[in-house]
Amino acid sequence: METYNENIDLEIERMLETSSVSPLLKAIVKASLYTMPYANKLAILKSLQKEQRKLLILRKKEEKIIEKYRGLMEKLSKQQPGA
Amino acid sequence: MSDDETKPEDETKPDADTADDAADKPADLKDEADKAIKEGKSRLGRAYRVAVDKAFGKTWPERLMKLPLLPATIPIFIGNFFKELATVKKERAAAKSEAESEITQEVAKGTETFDIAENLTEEMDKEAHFGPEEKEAVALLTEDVLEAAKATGEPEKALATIDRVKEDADKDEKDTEKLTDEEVQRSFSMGLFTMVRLRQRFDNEKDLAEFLTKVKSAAGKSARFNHFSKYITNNFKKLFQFGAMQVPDLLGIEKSKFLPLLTSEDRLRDGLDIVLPEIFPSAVRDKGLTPLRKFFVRFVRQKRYPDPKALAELIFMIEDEDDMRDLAKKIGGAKVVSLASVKATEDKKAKIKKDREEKAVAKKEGEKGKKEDKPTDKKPDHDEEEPALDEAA
Repeated sequence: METYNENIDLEIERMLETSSVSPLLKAIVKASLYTMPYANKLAILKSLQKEQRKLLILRKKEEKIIEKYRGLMEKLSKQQPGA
Repeated sequence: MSDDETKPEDETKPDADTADDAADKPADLKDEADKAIKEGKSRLGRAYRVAVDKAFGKTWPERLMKLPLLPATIPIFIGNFFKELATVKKERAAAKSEAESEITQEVAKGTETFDIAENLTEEMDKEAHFGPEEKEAVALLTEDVLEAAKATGEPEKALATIDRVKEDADKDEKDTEKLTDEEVQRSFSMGLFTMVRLRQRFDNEKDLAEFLTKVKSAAGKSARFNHFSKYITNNFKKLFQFGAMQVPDLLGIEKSKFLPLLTSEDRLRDGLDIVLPEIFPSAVRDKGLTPLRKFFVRFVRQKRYPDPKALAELIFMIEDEDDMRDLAKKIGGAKVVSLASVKATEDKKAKIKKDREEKAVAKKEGEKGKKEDKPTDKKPDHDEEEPALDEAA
């Protein structure tokens, strides 16, 4: 996990782009990166990574739900004329 | 036949109208049909069963699939869909909120650390009156080197900075030998300052070691840079303990009273007496405070942390002789004097002197028996003493 020593700023900025945190917080983080100690940067990066993982899981979950109900709807629409 | 087929259709119509009830109890309908057949109402019973099968399916999966067709189940179906989606949405909002909270905390902490460090820097600049050389040396050991090396592809810049400052330091070597107490104290302040900045940069040894390894591999083979990185890595534990937040605490004073402590030689020594056991507990235990304090003052006086000899000595003081020898082997071209060997030589000389004095006393007293016992205790190292004994005999 600790492999971002050299590019931690870039990595944080990249992850902020896809993060769901508020635009204001994104701007604050970007502005304070230059002066922030490494330890805090690392903690932020870890938080962002954790959030990304959660979002990915939720996205998959959402897709699964939609898929499930779409299947049911299709079956319904096929059966409806015969009913 | 047509009657058979049409009749049940007609008979089932009332059932279809009460489809809601039928949907709730399809099993009852089937039982009812079976019962009707059993009771001899074969036609009606069969018709009833056909109607049930047609409306709800012959098997349970079929029946379940047909259930949503009923008007009452459609809102439930849609309701469930949105309910499940709402759960996901709620979880997403929770994830966002958690991330925002964590990031805000870290930003606040980072900014606070930065403010403290900045204030400390300003105050130290005022108090210690850093000259350009000190400032550059501080930059060498902390920000510039690490920043320059951090930007991948620019290790040369970092090395160039090191070389430049090292050359300047070599030029001023004569002056540094004549350091006044005030300058020693300034050097010490500088050392503290370096540690403060390093503490800010890394919060654990592993991160720092990994970072230095990367920089080193990027920089190629540079003995000087290797010494520097090894010094930092080996002593980071102590530097970490000596970090920005800990120093005033270690000294048991308020932060505002921290800087004036370094303004006099006596206070510096007092401060070292408190701080050193905290930083080098094992060294203080094994070597005692005074030699360590002397060493530390001398070490900061040298002002050149990547200096291999100073490094080796520091390792020796902190760790043990094996570590020091190992390091000395790795430092090519550096003449490292083992403090242990110096001490051994001194002990040997002291023993020889003591033996001579004892022999002289024995000679004076004329006790030949004692003279005969003495040589047996002697070690083969003291060959020089043998002729003297013969002469005396």
